Amino acid sequence: MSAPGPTVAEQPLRKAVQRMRWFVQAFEQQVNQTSAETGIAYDIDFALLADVFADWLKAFSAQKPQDDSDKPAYVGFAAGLMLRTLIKKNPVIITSLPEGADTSNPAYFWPEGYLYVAFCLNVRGLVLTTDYDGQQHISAALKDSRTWWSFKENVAEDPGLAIAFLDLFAGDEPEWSMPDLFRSGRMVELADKFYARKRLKPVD
Amino acid sequence: MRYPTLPFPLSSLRVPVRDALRGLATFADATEDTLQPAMDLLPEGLRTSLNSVLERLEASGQRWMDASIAHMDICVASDVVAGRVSTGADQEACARVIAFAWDHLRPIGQSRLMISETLLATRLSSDSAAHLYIQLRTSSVIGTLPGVPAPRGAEDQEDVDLRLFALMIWLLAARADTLEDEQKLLHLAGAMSVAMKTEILAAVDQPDQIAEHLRALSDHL
Repeated sequence: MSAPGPTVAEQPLRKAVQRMRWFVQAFEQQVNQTSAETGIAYDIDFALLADVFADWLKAFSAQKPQDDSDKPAYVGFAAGLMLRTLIKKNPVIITSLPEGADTSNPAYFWPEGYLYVAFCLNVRGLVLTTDYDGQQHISAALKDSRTWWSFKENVAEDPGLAIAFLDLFAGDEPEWSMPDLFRSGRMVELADKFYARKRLKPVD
Repeated sequence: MRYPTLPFPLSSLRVPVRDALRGLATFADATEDTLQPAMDLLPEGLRTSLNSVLERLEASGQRWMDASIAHMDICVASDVVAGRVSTGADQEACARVIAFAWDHLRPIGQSRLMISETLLATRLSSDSAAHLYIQLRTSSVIGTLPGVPAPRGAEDQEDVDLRLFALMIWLLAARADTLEDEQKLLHLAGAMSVAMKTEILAAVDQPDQIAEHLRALSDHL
C-alpha cells in the first residue's frame, strides 16, 4: 500500500487533508496506485466522492477536540470516520478484476474495502509521521482473510465499526463499544504504542 | 474539428456582446430540448441538419465565452467578492469571471437561468461576500431574461442559491496555480455546494450564518 502525497503548499498536512482539493487528488492517486499494484480497475463517482468529503467534514468538525493533547489521537479517529463514510457512500465501482484473482487475498476479496482501508491508513500514517513525529505500526490483521470476512460482515450491519477496524489494522487498540464516539485523554493510553518520541510537538 | 482563428481577442468584446453570445448558447440548448418531441416527425436529413446547426450554435457561444477569462481576472474577482477592491475595471473583470463560472456550473441544476455580465458589473460593490451573495440571489441579474424582474419557482431559486454559493466559495478559496486547475476547483466547489445543500439552503437569508458557511467551506475547498 503506497501513500498518496499531494499537499497544499506551506500548510501542515493535517490542515491540507481538510481541503477537498487535497482529498480528491490524494484519493485519485490512491486509486491509481492500488490499481497498479493489484491489477484491479476502479471507476470513481466524483459527485459521491464530494459527498464523502462533505459528510466526513461534518463528522470531523462535530467531535474535534479542543485540548491539544487529544489532537494526535484524533488523527486516528478522523481516519476511522473517513473509512466509515467511504464504506457508507461507496464512491468507486470495480470495472474489472485480473483473471484468476485469489479471493483469499483481501485486495480481491473486497476490492472497494481494500482501497478505502489503504487510503485511510496511508493518510493516517502520513499525518502522524509528518505533523506529530509519530509512527504507525500496521498490524498483521491487515493480511488476515478471517479478519476481512469479519470486517466486511460487521460494517455492513454497523458502518461505525469501520473506526474500530481501522484502529485494529493500524496496530492500535480498537474501541469496539461505541466506536463513533471520540474519547478525550486516549492519547495517554496510546502514546507508548504510537510514538517514536515521547514528547509531542505543539499543535494548532 | 478545427475552428477558424478569430480576428480579435475575445476578452476585448464589449460586455453586452458577450451577454448576447451567452444568450445564444442557452437559446440553442433550450431549443434543442424543446424541439426534441417534434424532431421525430421530421425527415431524417432535415432532423440531422437542424440538430447540427443547434449544436454548432451552442458550441460556438460556449467556446467564445470560455476563452474570455484569464487567471489574473480570477484573482481580481476574488478581491472584489471579498470586498478588498471595487474600481469599475475590477468589477467588470469580476462580472466576467462570475458569468464564466455560472455557465460552467450548469450541471448543478436543470434550469436555464442566465446571468447578465452587463448588469452584474453594476451590482458588485459590497463590503462582504455574504452581503453580495444575499443581494445577488434575489436580484434580476439572474433569470430567464436577466434584467426583467420575475418571480422564480422553488427549483430555480434553489439552483440560483447553490450555483451562486459554489462560485462564491470558489472565489474566496486559496487560488490554484493555473487556469486549468481553477476550472477543476470550480467543479469541486459545485460538488461541495450540492453536498452541503441542506445547510446552505437553511442559511440563505441570514447574513451571519451565510458568512460563516462561506468562510468555512472556502477554507475547506
